[in-house]
Amino acid sequence: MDMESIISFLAAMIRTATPLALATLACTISERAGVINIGIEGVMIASAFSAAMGAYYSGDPWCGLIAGVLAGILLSVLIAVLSIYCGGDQVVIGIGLNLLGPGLSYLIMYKIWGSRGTSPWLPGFGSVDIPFIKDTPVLGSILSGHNPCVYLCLLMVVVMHYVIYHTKYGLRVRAAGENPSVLQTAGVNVYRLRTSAVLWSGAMVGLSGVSLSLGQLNVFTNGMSADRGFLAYAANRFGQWTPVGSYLTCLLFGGMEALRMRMQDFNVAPQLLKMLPYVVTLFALMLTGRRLRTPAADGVPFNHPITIPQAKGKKGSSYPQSKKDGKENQDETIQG
Amino acid sequence: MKKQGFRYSLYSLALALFFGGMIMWATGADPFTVYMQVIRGSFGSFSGVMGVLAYMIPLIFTGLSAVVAFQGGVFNIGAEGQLLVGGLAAVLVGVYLDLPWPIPLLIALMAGFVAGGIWALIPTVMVGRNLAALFVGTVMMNSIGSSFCEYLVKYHFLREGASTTETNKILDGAVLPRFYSNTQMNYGIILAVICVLLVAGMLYRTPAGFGIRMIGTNPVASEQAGINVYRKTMFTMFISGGIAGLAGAVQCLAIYGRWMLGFSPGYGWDGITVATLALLNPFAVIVTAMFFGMLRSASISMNLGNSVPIDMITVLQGLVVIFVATAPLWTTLSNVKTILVEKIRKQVKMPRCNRR
Repeated sequence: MDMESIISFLAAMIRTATPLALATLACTISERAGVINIGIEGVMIASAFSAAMGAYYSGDPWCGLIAGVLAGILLSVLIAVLSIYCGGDQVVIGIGLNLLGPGLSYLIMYKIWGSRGTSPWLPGFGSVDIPFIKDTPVLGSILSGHNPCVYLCLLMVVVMHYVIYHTKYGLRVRAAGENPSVLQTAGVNVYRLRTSAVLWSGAMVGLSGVSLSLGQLNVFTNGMSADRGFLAYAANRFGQWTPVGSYLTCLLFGGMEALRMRMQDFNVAPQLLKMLPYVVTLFALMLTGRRLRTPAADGVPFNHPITIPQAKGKKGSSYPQSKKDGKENQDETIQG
Repeated sequence: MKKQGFRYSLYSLALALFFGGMIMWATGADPFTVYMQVIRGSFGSFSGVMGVLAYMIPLIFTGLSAVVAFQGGVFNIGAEGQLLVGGLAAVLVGVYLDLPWPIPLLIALMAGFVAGGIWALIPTVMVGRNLAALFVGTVMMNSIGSSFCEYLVKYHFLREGASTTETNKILDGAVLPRFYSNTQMNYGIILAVICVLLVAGMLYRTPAGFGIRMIGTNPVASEQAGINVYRKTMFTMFISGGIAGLAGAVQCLAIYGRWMLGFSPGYGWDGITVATLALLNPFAVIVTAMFFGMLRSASISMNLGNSVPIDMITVLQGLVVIFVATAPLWTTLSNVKTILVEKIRKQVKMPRCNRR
């Protein structure tokens, strides 16, 4: 393998890792705050589709980007309200979103473009060169000349690492994932904090959807996410819930994808090559299996007082149901 | 999820139908007409009823598969892969085993069960100690399963001169007969009902089923009580995967007579919805499977495709799952009402309405 093909391989690795990496970062932030986000797969397709729609009707990929991110946030509001405020099962809600997101996208796609398979050609992002790095000998050809989503992804890795580990907000997010009741004792609104993390995660999923439909192929196709949402969940675990670790894992997966594209020249059945990333993910999960440093309250609902059933007899009272006799009740009213 | 009565399940269904209707209305179809059309198309004629029953069969199986897994605390959403693999195993037995009628059929069904079970066991053995990771493992096995079956059929068992990816037709000995030759309704429905009884009996009347339910309720406590959670999870997954494999086997042996690419329009995913809406009760699975079978049969046989695309079913399923998962939603809503009433009462002291 000569120098040139190694460089183009590395560049392809970074490019193919981007959608997965953005989804993984989304997974990281929401799980750090203690909310398991299984619905990434569905939200990703929905935001890829709305990005496609935005770009198609406005003719500008940046409008598509905004539309995609907005779609991601909107669907995440659903997760936030239902799982944080209403106490629903996070995993089952995620499964529901995985059905709802693609269903809605293909439904609207059929209505506006008359096809369930492929969208018309979209005005995608072109490749953008970075002024100074472009002229550097090796780095230039690896890092420069990608679509803007790749740069956004790299930027988000840095931003996320800074926010999670070096700001007050990040400390609180980590605390919400480890022990939310301590956080509440310290006077922080856990629900609001978790909601903000989930919404942020939604925005990241939106970006990843945008990079799927507008970044690489400039077209939206049925099933284009190819289970990346679930791969992201595994990559996040392999990266031990850290943004940088997650990104490196995604680079590994991206390398696998780039390798797969190279191997298509050899005489291997495409179906077997298609299995490759999933098999690797299984082994990655197996390897991480025992030595995980899972956030302690990951996926544990922190019940909002509003979800606890209230007394039926006394309307308008916020006291929990009690079987006290009349005298004590009287005392209570006097104190109140 | 389990303790809320079926009343809440009905509420959630109504809410999902309402929002689904809104979406239909927004895309330019009249929801009342569509719903009425679905009901009339399903139960208005004999062939309609037969169609619904035929679509019910795989849904009962995959729903049961999800019930077993979910009751055991495992989110097995790999039913789709297990179904494809089970179907392929059954068809291979049917193609190559040349014996008088009931023997190859029984062996094929067993092969489907075992193949589906093994396909579910693979991720369990690999990552079963971590239940949250197992969930992702089963999804990975979905993608691997569909690619793997496609590879096997395309390169090893392809029908001579086939333009699509499909195997040879199974021999007569392995055919699961139909009730009437002009409908898809077949004797698989009896197998499905037997399966419901067996699963219910196992879950509620045997020590093994008690262990499964105990792990689903509290894995830590069961570990403390001396249950080997890892081994028990393998058992749960084997049964769950096996039932999903049976779904594929019955579909292939009764309706298509061969394994062909894309024979399942997502029955594995439907199973999750069926089980969730049934609140993980094996008997209620029959009712919910009938509901979704009705939707599927209507969307395909009545050619609703012009006004309402097939994806509407997926949307409805997503809504149902989300609303059923949020069973505390109803408590929350009633609490919100109480709180609002309280707030309004407190504010009565300064009546703004009278201030004109």
